[in-house]
Amino acid sequence: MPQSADKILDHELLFREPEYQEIFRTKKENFEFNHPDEQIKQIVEWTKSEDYRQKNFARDSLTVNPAKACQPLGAVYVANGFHKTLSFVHGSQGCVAYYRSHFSRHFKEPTSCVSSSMTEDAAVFGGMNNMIDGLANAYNLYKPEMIAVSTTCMAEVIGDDLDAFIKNSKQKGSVPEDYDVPFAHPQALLGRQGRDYNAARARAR
Amino acid sequence: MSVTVEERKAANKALIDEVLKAYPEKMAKRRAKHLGTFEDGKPDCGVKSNIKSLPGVMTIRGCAYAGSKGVVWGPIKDMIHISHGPVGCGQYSWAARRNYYIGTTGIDTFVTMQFTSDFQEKDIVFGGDKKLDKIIDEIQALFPLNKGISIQSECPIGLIGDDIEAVSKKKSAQYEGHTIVPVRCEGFRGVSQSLGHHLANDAIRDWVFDKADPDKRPDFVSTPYDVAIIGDYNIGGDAWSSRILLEEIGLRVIAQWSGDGSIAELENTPKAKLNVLHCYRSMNYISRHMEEKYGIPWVEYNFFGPTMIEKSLREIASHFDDTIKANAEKVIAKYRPLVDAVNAKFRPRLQDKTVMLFVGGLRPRHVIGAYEDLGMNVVGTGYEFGHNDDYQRTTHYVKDGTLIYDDVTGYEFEKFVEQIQPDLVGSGIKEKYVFQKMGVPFRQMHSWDYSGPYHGYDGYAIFARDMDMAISSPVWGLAKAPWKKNA
Repeated sequence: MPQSADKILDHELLFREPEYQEIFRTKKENFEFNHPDEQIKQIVEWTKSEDYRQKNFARDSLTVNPAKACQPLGAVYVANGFHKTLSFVHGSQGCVAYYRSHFSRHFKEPTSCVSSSMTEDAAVFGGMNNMIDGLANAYNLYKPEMIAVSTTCMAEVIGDDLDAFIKNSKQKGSVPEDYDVPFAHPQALLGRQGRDYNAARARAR
Repeated sequence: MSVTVEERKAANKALIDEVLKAYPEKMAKRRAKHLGTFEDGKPDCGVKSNIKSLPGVMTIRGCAYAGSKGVVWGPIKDMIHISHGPVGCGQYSWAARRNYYIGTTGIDTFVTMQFTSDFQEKDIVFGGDKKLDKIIDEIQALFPLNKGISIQSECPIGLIGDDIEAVSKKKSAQYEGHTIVPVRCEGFRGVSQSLGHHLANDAIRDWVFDKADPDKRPDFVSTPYDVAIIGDYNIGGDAWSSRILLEEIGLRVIAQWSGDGSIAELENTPKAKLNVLHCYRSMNYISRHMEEKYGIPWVEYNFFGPTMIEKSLREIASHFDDTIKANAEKVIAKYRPLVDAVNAKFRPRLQDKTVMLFVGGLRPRHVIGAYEDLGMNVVGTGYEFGHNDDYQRTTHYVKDGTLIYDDVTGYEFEKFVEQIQPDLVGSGIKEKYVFQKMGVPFRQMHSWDYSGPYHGYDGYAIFARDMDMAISSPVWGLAKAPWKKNA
């Protein structure tokens, strides 16, 4: 039996035991219908060849294992460097989950960041209410001294105007009028032009 | 000093009321519906679920892309999954999930690689279909052994009106029927990862099952003992430590969905005699479909902790003949000494310790049995993206008076733990350092904190070791500065 209470093996060594090696063998043989081992070896060799190298460098559309991330991550990173500043990312909430996880894994520290949690209806009607409610909630719950706002793809592509939304939010009392809410559109180009281009493309279709 | 159930319920209610005071009134009313205490005898946990998160509250949830690419499609090892859109989504989900697999990465398997169309502004403006077309050509040229390609849509794809279905059909025809699956899992869809699972399941139904040739593999011979493991992502090897038990009782596991899964296994699953479903939330959809279309029955099972394992092995065996039923008893007897030894070793230190959980869509209820096998008590639990049927199932796991929190916010979770002071918190990476810095032992219950497997008997030993390691570590006694002690 591979496991015992005296010497507990976890994934590092457990699967090297013969019982597991056997089930791996039968799984591969009977159910995976993979290419033959010979062919796999052949391709391994080919990836070391000049032909592969040329094809790889000729790539202009596919990106593989890039060494970069997206712009709002940088905005969150900057905001985290300021004392008692909460970063607020206007757009889909998945992005914030990812930024927080990414930084927490890297620094092994808690990473605070909030999202305006825009969903499908906000994609159609715009995210102003999300901004108004979001700023109010973040301000009341976490009591930061400053909230730094940036956007995700979704908010950028639909053309949400952070300046206007923040002004509206202050008017509605989400945060005090003189409270600092600096903002940046990570892809400022898209803010204005994007909407017009998309509308034109949609009409052309 | 032990608290009665009535006292605990009252304390929970007071705690919830206190926590809600921090919200603006309108928001407090909405959050109140997601927080409560379980009452014995009720059909569900009395909380609303699976609705929009409030803006700005620091929800722990992710998005549909995460549910589709991260959870369902990503682990399928011999396919290439394109994160279609800007580089971020693919980057943050690159090799982040410990869905283990065996293969030669870059040659016949691709799970820990990042393939993306790296959308730039011109792709948003002019559309990404042409680029996608070329990407598929480049993949075929550089990774010739790939058995299929999936296109995992990111937010912009749905907003700019790209036609990834047309590109998929065209390229699939061009490459002689190569499996190319478009998945509409844009992040803004739905309210959490959950819709992503659903969309992913539907894409498998429409683009893998419906397009598969049933006679493609004449050398696959069915047996009356064929089962498929559905909804096990092999975190740290979970599916393997489950598979070994099913095979020990005499069944033949023909497919794993989707940890260490290959597309051939997916295509052959309609030949199974029984689908055994672990993660109900993410794969009930395809299980229901297979029952409807192919007549394959499915049964939910739980391999966390010996009590649940025994129950599950007997339940699964009951769908087969006496040989299998007898084997199940043999296997249960075989592992009993291991279970007893593990319990003898760890229960003394873990007895009566309290736990608060917050995980995704299954584990907030499913692991409770394993904790109870070690003598521990789960005093609070909640789901990121569970639906009402998950909360109904939870009633069979939680005790009277357990605190329930749906889509808990960062603020709420911190206040709950501060007040309740559990001996252990089990949640995710975003929560780990928050609670450890508060002086509360923590174990990640998504990634198993880089440990695992936790499924099956072999996994139970590891689970016990880890919970003990976390709670009994002498470091917690050193958390207070010496000049603050005995003040």
